[in-house]
Amino acid sequence: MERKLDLDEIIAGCKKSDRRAQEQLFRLLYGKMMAVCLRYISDRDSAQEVLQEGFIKVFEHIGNFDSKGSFEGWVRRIMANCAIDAIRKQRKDTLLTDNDRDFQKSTADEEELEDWDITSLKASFAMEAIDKLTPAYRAVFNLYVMENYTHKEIAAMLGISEGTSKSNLAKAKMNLQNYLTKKFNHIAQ
Amino acid sequence: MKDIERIFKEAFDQHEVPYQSGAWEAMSKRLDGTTPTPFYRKWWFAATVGTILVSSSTYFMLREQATKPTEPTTQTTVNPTVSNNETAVPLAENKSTSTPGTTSKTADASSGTLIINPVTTTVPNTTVTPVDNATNKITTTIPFKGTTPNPATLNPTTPKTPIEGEKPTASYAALSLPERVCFNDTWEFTNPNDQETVYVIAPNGKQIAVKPGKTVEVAANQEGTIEVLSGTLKQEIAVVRSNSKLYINIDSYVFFDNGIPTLTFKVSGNENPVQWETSAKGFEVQNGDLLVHPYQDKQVTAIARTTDMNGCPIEEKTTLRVEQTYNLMAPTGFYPNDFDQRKNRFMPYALTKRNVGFELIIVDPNNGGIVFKSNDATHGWDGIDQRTGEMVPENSVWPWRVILQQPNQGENKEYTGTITRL
Repeated sequence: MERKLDLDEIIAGCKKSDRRAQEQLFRLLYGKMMAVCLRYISDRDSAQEVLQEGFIKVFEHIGNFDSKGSFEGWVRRIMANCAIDAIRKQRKDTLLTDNDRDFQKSTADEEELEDWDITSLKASFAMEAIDKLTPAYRAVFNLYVMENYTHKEIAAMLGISEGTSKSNLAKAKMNLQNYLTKKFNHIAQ
Repeated sequence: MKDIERIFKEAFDQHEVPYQSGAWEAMSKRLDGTTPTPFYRKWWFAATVGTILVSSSTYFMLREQATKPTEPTTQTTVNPTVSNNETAVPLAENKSTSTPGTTSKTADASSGTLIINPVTTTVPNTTVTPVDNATNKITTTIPFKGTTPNPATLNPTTPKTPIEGEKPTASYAALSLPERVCFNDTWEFTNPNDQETVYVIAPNGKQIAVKPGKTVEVAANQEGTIEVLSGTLKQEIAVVRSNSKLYINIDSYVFFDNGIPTLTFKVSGNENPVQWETSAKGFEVQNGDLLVHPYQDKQVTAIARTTDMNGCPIEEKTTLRVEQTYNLMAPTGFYPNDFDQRKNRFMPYALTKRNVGFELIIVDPNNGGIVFKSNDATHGWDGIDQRTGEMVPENSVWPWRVILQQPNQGENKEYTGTITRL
C-alpha cells in the first residue's frame, strides 16, 4: 500500500511542483471535482477537459492559496470558473439566453420508475434534473446554489445583469421543481 | 418540495464520480505538454529535436573522447521513454510550468536546453554516475547545477507505477447486511464508509441518504424489500412477516383451583417458548401456560409472544370477560336448622379450601355490633348471635366481612357480602 499523504503535505508538495504530490491531489479530488464539472457540462469528455484545465490552474496558483480557507472549496470554485469559461467558449450566447424553452422534452421519463422521496434525492437523479435545464439556467443555479456565488458575482462572471441572474435562478428552480413533480406524479400513479 | 435549493445541495453534497482509470495519465500528459492538439505537435517536435541533439552530442562526444561509447546509446533510448512516461523533469525545471502557454514558450525558446534536460537527469538516475562527467564536458549550455538536486524530485517517479489502479477514488466498504428484517421491526444501519454516501430505500419507497458514519433507523412497516445502494452495488433485505401464527386456547372458563379462581391460557401453533403478558394482577406462568387469577378483574387480556423460525416476533392476544366476581365463593343464604352440615353453617367456601389466615365477622347492620367472629375455616357461623346466644330470625340479612392475613398477589385483603338466614 502506498503511504497516504496528508492533504497539507500534498498541498505543500504541489507548491513545490512535485509531480507525485500533484498526482495525489488529482486522484484525491477527482471524484468530487469531476462531479462539479459534470454539473455544468453533461458531456463526459468535455467535462474531463474542463477538469484538466481546472487542475492546471490549481497547480499554477496553488502558491497563492492560503491555508485558512477550505482547500476543496477553493478548488471547487476554480473548477466552476473553468466550466463557465468552457461553456462560454463553446456557445457564445448560451449564458445570456433568458428564453422560456424550459425543459427539453425528456425521453428518459419512461425508462425506469424509481421511488423518490421528495425530501431527499439521489445525486444521479439530481444530475438528471439539472441536465434538463438550459445552459443559462443551469449555470446560474450551479453557481448560486452549489458554489455559493452571489448574484453580483454571477452577473460579473457570466456577463449578464444581476436581474437576469436572479430571474434565471428563479426559473431554474421552477423548472427543477416541475421536473421533480412530474417525476413524482408519474410514480404516484 | 419547497426547499429545492436544499434538496439539490444535499443531493450533490459529497457526491463523487468514480475514478476513471487513465485520468491522471491524461492529466499528466497535459501538464507536460500544452493543450491537447498542439501538444502532440510539440511532443513530436521535442522528440525530434531531442533525438537530433542527442545524436549530435553523441557525435561530438565520440569525436572528442571515445572513452565511453556505451553511454550515448543509452541516452538515445532513454529519451523517448522519458517523454512517454511523463517524468517530472520539465516541471521541476521550470517554476511556472502549469500553464500550457508558459510551458510551450519555454520549450520553444530554450528547446535545446529543455529537451536535453530529461536526458541528463534521467541518466544519473537510471544509469551510472560517470555519465555526469561525460555530459558535463560536452555541452556547456546545460544548466547542470539545477539538474543535480533533481534526483530528489525524480525519486517519487520510481514508486509511481504501483499506484496505478490501486486505489479507486470511490471505495465503498463492504456492508454486512442482514438477510431479512422482520415486519414491524426497526432496522438500524450505520454507513461504515469514510467518504461515500450509501442510500437506503425503505419498503415504502422513501429514500434516505446515509452520510459516512451516520446511522439511520428504517422502519420495516411494509412488506417488501429494503434496498441498500452502495456505489453501484445494490443489496436487498427482505422484510418478512412471521410465517406462523400463535393460537391461544383457554382451558376452561374460571376454574376454582383450591378456592382460587383460575383461568388457564395455553398456546398452540408454535414450539418456541412463549412470553406472556396479562392485564390481570394475579397470575403465574406454569409449564408455559398462563394462569390468571381474576380476583377482582372484570375482564382479562392475555398476550402471548414468541418468535418464528426466522426469529421474527409473533404475537397473539385474547381478551375475555369474567362474568362473576370472585367473593370467596361465599353462599348468599344458609339453613341453620338443616341437618346437612354443608348447609347449616356459614363459611365462605373458598376459605375452607384455601390455606390462608383470615378473620370472618358477621355484623349487626343496625348498630355495627359483632354477631359472630371466626378465624377457623371449620368453624362457620351457626346463626347464633354471640351477644345474646339466640338464633337470629328467619330471613334476616347479615353483612359479613372477611379480612385475609396474607392475600395472594393481585387479591384484595378484604371481602364483604351478605348472608340471609333461611
